[in-house]
Amino acid sequence: MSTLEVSNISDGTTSVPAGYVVNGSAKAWVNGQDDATVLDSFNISSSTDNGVGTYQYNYTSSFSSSSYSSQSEARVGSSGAHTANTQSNVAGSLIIRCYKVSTNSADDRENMVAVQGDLA
Amino acid sequence: MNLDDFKTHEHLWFRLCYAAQALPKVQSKYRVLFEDPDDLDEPAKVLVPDPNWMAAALHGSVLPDVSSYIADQKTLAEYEKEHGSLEGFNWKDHDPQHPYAEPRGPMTEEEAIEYLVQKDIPPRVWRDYKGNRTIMKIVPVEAIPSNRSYRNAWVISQDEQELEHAA
Repeated sequence: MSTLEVSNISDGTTSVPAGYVVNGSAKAWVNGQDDATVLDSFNISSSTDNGVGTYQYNYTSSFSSSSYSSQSEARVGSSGAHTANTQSNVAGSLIIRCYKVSTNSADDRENMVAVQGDLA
Repeated sequence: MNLDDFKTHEHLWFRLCYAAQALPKVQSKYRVLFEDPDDLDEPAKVLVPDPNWMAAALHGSVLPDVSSYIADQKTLAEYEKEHGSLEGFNWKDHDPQHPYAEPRGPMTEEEAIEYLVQKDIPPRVWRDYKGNRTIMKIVPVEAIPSNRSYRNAWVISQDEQELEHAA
């Protein structure tokens, strides 16, 4: 295997530091089901089904603090959940809650999360 | 790709990048049921191992020893005890162990589940709880009910090796 060591990446017109690409990548992401089974992911060690519509994702490599950015969404399931919010987050994990719009928590068919931020 | 090339002097996250490219996912045949002893009114929780993480655990040369996570949990607990919460905590002001700890060798699936219990379940469940009620069980996937109609009433059965719901 060979390693390309470059400081900058250019398309011929615009140039950005290679570190910008690495640091701009999602540091964790996950696609999970309503029973917390993970279909695919990156930097996730486990998921926890906390109850109806509530899932915790634990990171393998923690973030430096809780001040990171997360985006979550839910795919409509049999019970109709179609939105997901981050309920709480700490450096080592994040909890999302899936909802039917204007009603209580509900299971979703799939939920998706992507997280950007600085690692520990 | 030889993951052994990345055993040392690499941040854990970068080892995960290589592992994600090289290792096929492994869905575990186990689940961990647990209840929060601080809030027994909450439904039983179900921990599910991540398939990419399990692949890395079985392969070895990717994940640090669980002792590094336990050391970091201790750092967090001390900060929380001193400040009343984790608000304002930043690993940049401390010395996290798990990102740079030397990767360990391969685990069996059973060892990997024990590792996850210690890493991802609060110590008040698996270490500190002294009550008589069984609040944690490792069970096969088949023991988890597929019908989620009464999900928020699930409790851990005290008599049998299976989950039951209280409804």
